Amino acid sequence: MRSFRLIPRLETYPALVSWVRTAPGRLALVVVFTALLRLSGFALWLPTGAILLAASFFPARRRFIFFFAALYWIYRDPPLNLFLLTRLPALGPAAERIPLWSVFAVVAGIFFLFGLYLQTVRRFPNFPVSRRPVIFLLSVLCVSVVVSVHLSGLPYFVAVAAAMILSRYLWFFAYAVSDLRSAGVAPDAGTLGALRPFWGYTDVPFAKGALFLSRIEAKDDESLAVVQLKGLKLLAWSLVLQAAAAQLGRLDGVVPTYAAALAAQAAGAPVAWRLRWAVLLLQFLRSVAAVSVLGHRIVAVARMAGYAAPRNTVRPFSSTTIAEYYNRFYYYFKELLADFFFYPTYLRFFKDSPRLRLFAATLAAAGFGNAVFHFVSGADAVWSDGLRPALKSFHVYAVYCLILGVAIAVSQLRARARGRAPRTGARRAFSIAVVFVFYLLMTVVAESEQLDRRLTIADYGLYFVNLFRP
Amino acid sequence: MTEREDVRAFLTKLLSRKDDPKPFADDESLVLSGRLDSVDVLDVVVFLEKRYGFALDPAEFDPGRLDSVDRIADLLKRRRRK
Repeated sequence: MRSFRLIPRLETYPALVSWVRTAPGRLALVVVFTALLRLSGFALWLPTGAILLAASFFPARRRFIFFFAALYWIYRDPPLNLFLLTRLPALGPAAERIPLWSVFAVVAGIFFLFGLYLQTVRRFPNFPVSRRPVIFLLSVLCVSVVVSVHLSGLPYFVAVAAAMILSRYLWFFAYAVSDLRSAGVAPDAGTLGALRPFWGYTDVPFAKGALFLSRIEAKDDESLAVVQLKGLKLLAWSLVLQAAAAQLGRLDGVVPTYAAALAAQAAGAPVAWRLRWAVLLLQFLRSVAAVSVLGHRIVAVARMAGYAAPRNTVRPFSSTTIAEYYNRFYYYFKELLADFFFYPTYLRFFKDSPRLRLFAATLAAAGFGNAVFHFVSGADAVWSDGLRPALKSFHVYAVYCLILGVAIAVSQLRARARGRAPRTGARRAFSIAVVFVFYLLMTVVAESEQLDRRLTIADYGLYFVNLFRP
Repeated sequence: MTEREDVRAFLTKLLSRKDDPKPFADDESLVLSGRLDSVDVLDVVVFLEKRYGFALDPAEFDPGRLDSVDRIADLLKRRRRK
């Protein structure tokens, strides 16, 4: 029974692997994969299938294919909030008259400036801007934001568009600089392909940058067939999860959404006690399912493209520590925080105090880095609501980051002091339950950025307290 | 004990602490395979600092260079050449 698998390990059948290496096999695999993509409701299934087909038949030209795919994706889905940009409150009706091509001109301008920056890093590796790319990029973003709110007319539009694009690309740019610094690899077609990977992205670069991609790239026909079959399997698994998550939708109308429960509480008519827990549980499960389904689909496409990318979400509910759950829930976000906050802090500070060193590095990543990432990611609020209200409304998420950062740091220190995790039995079940309840309770504030931004930490605090007041 | 053997012995110990007794090849990426995580990479950093007096530059740090016996041994060899 333990060996039962809902989706068989396709890559372990030698005959199937051999067949997938043939032209009809490759074609069939891409067709099936594309059909599943369509079934998943992914809007760009057709161009994605076409790119995968080209990459499967011309693997040696993979990077060039992805370079042109990136250009197409930038055209098809500009990396900024076009809806907001064409309705900027500060511009009024004039915003709608600004031609679309000017947006692409700004995108091209940003990429040109980034190219100059990469050249600077290459030629002057010891310049502070080269050694601290995240600080430099964040500083540029902050300056653009502050400057933009003092401009008007076309300059305002250009500054806002530039800041919006930078906020979407900041971590992609940071990986490109980091790749250049650590491996001395000159940017090529693969770099641009990685800046806007066609397999999809959130503001988190899935599969990091070009250097990481080169390490996980299928090097021969057989490894390509194996990784593609793993991609197909993951997409199928994503569909299973999607169907399971859709079942949660049947509870709509029975259990209110978390946003509705918060609104009811604000109106002085909170939902019943048991329902408060049900609301939270549903919100938590939906959120985990959404991240899993999206992450699996993106990684599945990357694998079909020939990259053996690790899964984004791996059995988070089997975690026995808070830190382990964070590792398992959103791998590429955790990697981003580790690469740009965790390791740098660890290597720079508190070398004589191992426990403090680990604590500080973890807090810098899961706390500070997490907050910075989400403020940058939600930077559109600056232009829709104004700088001060955007900063003010962010305080709830900042509190969440602080609690999470401390909890993960303590969890890591405890795990290291304890040694081995409980393997089986009641202790293991208890550990898993504690982790589950912790993240369930964190759901109270975890998604404040997507909820009513006028709510304060006191509103969320009241919901939390009311969970324990029948 | 050669440097390579020393590195292998350290990684074996690190994995056994995580209840992972499976064998591994010198070129196997232990991070990509999910057998080591980011905190384990820090153990490798501390190992290099203490055993070999390594001071890794944060600006050039790449955890991907510390994820297999081959890569760590290569790092040590290059450092010795400098």
